[in-house]
Amino acid sequence: MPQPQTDEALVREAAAGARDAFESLVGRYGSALSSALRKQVPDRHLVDDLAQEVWVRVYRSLARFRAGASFRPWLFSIAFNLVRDVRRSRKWDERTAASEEDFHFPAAPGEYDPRGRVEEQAAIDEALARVPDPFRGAVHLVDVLGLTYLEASESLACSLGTVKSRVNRGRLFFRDHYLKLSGEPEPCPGSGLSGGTA
Amino acid sequence: MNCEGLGDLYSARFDGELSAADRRAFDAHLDGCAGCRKDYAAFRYAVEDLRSLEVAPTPAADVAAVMAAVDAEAHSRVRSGERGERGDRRARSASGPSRSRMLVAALGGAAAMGLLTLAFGAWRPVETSNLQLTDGSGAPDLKPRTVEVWVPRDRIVEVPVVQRVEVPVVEERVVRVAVPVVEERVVEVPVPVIEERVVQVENPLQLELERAAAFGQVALGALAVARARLDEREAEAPHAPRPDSGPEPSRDEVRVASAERRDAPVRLRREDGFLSLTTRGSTDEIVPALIAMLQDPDPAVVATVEGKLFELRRRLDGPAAAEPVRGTPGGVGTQLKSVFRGGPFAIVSEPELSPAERWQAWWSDRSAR
Repeated sequence: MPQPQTDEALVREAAAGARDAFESLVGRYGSALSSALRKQVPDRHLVDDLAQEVWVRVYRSLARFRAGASFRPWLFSIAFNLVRDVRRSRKWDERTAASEEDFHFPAAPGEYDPRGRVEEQAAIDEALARVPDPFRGAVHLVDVLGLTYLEASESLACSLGTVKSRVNRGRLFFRDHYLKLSGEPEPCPGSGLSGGTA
Repeated sequence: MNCEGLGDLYSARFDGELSAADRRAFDAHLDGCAGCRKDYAAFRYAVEDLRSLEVAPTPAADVAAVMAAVDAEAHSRVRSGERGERGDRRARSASGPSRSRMLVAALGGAAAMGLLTLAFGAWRPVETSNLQLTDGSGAPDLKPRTVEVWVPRDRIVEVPVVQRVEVPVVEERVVRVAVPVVEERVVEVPVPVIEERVVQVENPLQLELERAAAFGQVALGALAVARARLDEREAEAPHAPRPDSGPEPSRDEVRVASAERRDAPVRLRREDGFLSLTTRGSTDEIVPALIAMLQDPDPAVVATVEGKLFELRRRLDGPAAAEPVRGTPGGVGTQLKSVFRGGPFAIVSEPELSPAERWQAWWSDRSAR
């Protein structure tokens, strides 16, 4: 059975004009991209718009994709840059002021593959949705989407140390919410979230 | 280690990033502290459950929506005639992906066409009034329309022989874009040929290109317009010349004029940032044509041609040159060395010779080997 093409091979082909190669990339990462955006932007319609804009920006930048670079962090870095731009813009204020809920960025229906664990997934997603910024995005990239710390740091445009710190704190927040949702006892007060930088 | 601040190390422990000493200290603390042991266990289980979340496959409808947006972007670029990065002549292309596929048809037994194209960009819309599309007699007979001209990213691409030609299909959309005035230079360089023949066809692609490639020169403008797939298995006999009367060909039709005649010139076409050179094919004829192009007034072209000559020389396994091939932009007095005289390229050291004369001298020398 032939091996699937690497992301980077698809990027090269897409840069050379192969539409089907670009389409393969969209198919491969479309859901992951939308999932990452949903953890940053509560407005689902805005998420769809942003996802399309990210792919258009990827398309425009194909020729500039460096040989030897990794596609996945590049894709997410474009996404997070766009989110930052949107958050600074009027568009954010207009479209999210009415809908934004603090620390609550739930998944869309069908975002995750339930694999028969619907209730458990609902609790996991709910707990993750309550992890505050900027920890939520970091945890989602690393633990849900499977990026390495290095890839996540590239995607989030922050240092490796910062990403690791954010992931740790995000995991701690997640654990606390998850335990509550699962009806588990509170964590030991000696551990858990301590001081530290984001 | 103590309970206070142990949580800062949870991820490092979980991810296996603690040093051996720190891991031992961490584990030793857990062994002695039930509260932290339970707390870390809860952390570990929570993260493992979090990692069990799996993003569903991308719905086909979502992919289609994205591709529609990307296609719209691609067409938007064609309409606006974007030229891409500034300040870089070698990469004067739309910032979308460039399409640079072009292979030469296999021609069983016949002389193959070697096509050298000096180019600096990607697909660009060009009014056909700027292209020399002829009916074989030299008179343009197509009404102006806009087609995409393939401008490969590479500075020089020598299309290898004995391979299939794939030329993309003309887009249906017609756009009108203002383009710079086209310059055309024809470098008259005699090419010894076998027989005289004019073939005019108007069919999309296959045969005309094959015939043109087999029997002589193909106007690049037509070649750029001709977009289709060549299938050597479908090669047929040459078409008869097209009647003068008849409706204007559709956008999908291709007119290719090929002419083979004794001493037919090598045609050099130059458009804004785009040069093309067609010869009958073998390195023998390409090299003299390149030599002729050393007279180009554009230093970038000269530098590129020099590089190509150098490369060809190496490929011919000629003895190392005592000095590299040099060209003087727009001037005379170029000295070259012949690979076929036991050295690199033919020594043409007569500054008074025109490019055609110098090439004739080269050809004579080559033929005499």
